[in-house]
Amino acid sequence: MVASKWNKKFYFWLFLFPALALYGIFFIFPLIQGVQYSLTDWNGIVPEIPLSMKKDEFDQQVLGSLHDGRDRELITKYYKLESTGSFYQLQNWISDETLGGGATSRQLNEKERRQIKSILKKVGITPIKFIGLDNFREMLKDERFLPRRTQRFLFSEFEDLPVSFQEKDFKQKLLAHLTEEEEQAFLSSVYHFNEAEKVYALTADLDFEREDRLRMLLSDNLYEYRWERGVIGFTLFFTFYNVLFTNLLALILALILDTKLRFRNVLRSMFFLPNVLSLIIVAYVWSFMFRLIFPALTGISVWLGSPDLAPYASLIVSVWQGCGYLMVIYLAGLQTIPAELVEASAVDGANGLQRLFHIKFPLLLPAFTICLFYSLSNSLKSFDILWALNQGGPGYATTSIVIDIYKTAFMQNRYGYATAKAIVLCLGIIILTSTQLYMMKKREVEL
Amino acid sequence: MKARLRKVLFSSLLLLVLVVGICPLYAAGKTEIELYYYKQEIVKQMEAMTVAFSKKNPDISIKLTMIPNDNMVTLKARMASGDAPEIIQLQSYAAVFEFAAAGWLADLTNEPVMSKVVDGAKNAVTYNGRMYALPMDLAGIGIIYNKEIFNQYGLKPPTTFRELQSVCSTLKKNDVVPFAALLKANWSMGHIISMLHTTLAGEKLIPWLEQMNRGKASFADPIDNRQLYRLLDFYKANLHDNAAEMDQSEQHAAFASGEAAMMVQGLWAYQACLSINPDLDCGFIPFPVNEKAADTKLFADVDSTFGLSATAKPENMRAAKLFLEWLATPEAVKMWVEDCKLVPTFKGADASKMEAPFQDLVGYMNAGKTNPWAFSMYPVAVFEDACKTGAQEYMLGMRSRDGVTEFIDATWKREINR
Repeated sequence: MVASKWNKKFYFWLFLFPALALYGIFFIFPLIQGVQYSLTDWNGIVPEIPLSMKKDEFDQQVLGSLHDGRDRELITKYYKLESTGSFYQLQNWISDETLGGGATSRQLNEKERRQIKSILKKVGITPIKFIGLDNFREMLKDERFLPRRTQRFLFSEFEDLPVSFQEKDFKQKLLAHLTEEEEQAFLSSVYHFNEAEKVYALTADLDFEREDRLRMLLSDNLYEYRWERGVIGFTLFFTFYNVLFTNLLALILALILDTKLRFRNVLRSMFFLPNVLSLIIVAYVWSFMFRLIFPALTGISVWLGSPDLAPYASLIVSVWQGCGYLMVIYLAGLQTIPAELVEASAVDGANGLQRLFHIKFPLLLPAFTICLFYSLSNSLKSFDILWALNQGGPGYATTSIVIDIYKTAFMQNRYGYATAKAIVLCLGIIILTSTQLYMMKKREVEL
Repeated sequence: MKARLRKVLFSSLLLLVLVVGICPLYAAGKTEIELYYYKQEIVKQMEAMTVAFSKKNPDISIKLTMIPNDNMVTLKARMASGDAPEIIQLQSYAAVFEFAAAGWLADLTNEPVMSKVVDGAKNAVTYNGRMYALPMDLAGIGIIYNKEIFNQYGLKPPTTFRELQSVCSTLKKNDVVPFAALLKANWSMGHIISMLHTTLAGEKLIPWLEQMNRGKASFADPIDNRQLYRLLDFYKANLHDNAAEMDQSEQHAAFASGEAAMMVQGLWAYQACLSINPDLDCGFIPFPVNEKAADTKLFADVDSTFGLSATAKPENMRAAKLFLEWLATPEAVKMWVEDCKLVPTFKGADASKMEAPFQDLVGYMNAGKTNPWAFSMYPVAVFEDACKTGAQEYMLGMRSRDGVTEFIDATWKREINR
């Protein structure tokens, strides 16, 4: 039996409907809601309809300016004067005898809430205000969102005095900041230039008075300028290196494990293992590594606590954790390459590198596409590993956009502004990943 | 036959899952209310307290929900979805005020239990002249010091900054770390900068806060700004070498083991240290900020409070109010003091069984030598963002003195303009 054209269409849509409905409920609807919130000044706490209002406020602003009798009746049904007589309280639980099952009261339903909201809107009571694109403009002014140049002070009063300075440091970070000649003279009286080693060295004889003065002088004037990445800068930095290194490492591992190694199955599962572990455990293990093992290996004592090194430390963990998964995709890609193609090229005289670049890589392009997409979108919205390692700290040094959104929304109570940031991030991810997909799909080779 | 059996088995399993999933909705015969709290150090004690309460009131059962970190995040999400817990543990001042301003908290001003609270504690829950929560415990932030180490080197608890300097240099000479560090999480530095600022401001604090909320002042105004940052520098110079990596548990471990002699923390940390080393013998003093011993007051105030959700079902509201009443009874106060080790806010409560540092705190309270927790009166974003992160960044050299002040001022201006 051949189904008619109409029938075919009907079944097509019937099968598609659940997916479309779910897509609408879980993606389209929240997105629209998000856009709505991003245009308001909601702080995340204030309810859509006020739960209580002062008596005089209610009398004047609501009852005084509502002229429709029905509206007045409704609003006085829902707002009742409470026992002290100074507040009107929203009747959140209303008695309803029709419920059955022993219950006598129920909460206000969605329809009633909307009704109240629209009546209050008529008299200009809207706890959540529409502020247009202000949230998006705010982002351009947000000093920690964008990269910026900052002063970094290098000495504080109670530390040990620096014994010597490199010539360049001395001039740039200290001498250039002194404007008064007297101060410059004082400084050159305590730090003498040592021709042989090209350093400025501290004189041995310092009385208390001069030491105090030197301490004050250094703590005020010894600083340098540095670029702070800012939230956007850090996210891009993290994304770039994370995508680069996870893919590179995963590819190398896949190429190695695709050969006939004796323990390759054991090795494959070993490299994949970090991906199975819970992120909290990963963060815990690595904090331990950074505190006890890295200092012994590298001689640098502080890793995760240092604003300069923490971004790199997080990167190491993220690459270690992420490359196993990509390795499996690359491995699968490598195994689909027909052996006869590789052998044929070998017979034609292609050496190992030529086979790699001219046979294997072009045929591996679908795997590249998937892996790049996966790692790109994941790094742009990375949150968990950074949060578990350092909570976005120290300072803002490892705060990615998603951590920043979380902090803005829930710690600073700026829900509307955080939603605006989330919208920007969403658009950013869509643009970046779709460009990447488009570019790479074009180059893929069909077998 | 076999296939059919399998089908029956499978479908009955599915049915079972469904039934079990729905069951709790009907199981609740008596009034069940929920208590939402964040103090993770009193989990077992809270369970014991709710059991004791249910013994007295058999028709009410209390479900406990403990969310330790980021408890406000979860709470806001639940409020927004109309699923507010009946009893909510909130931090004093700002958190109470915020929820009260949004109308989420029930007005408790006329509840009989409020009259049993000491008057000094009521400020922390009073918003627009009405009281919206029951103050539960008093806490202090200051220097917890190890008496054994102090005695060993013949040191006395310092009362001026110079004395503190000499204490630290003696300790350093003897290879004892003066202060156990906590720099990895930023909240501790938020407490410390606010504590030093408040102590330096002294009497000027409240007028300054008013000016600040009108947008007419700066964080640097009521104090000797240079001294504030000198104190931070001093603190930084007397921490562990790897201070930037130390979190709360490492700080506690370092202090409890005697590796460090002092710790700038809230008294709640002392409790944690006791569980590591039960023989710890400590004292509690304010952080001296200058040479005038009279200025050295303890940074102490109401810490946690219990509020009631205004949207609760009427019968649940009655049950929740009964629980608050019960908290003021001698039985509950005894548990609060002896098991939870929290300093109660009720009139005439007996705290004499508590350890020495708590006695020190009560002593300062009774002598009136305390400063209020100013950070709870700052706008939320100012403390959460500008103070905590700003001070942490200063300690790591990432922000200059003026940078911290500007950050706080700018955030404050933005918050009052909203």
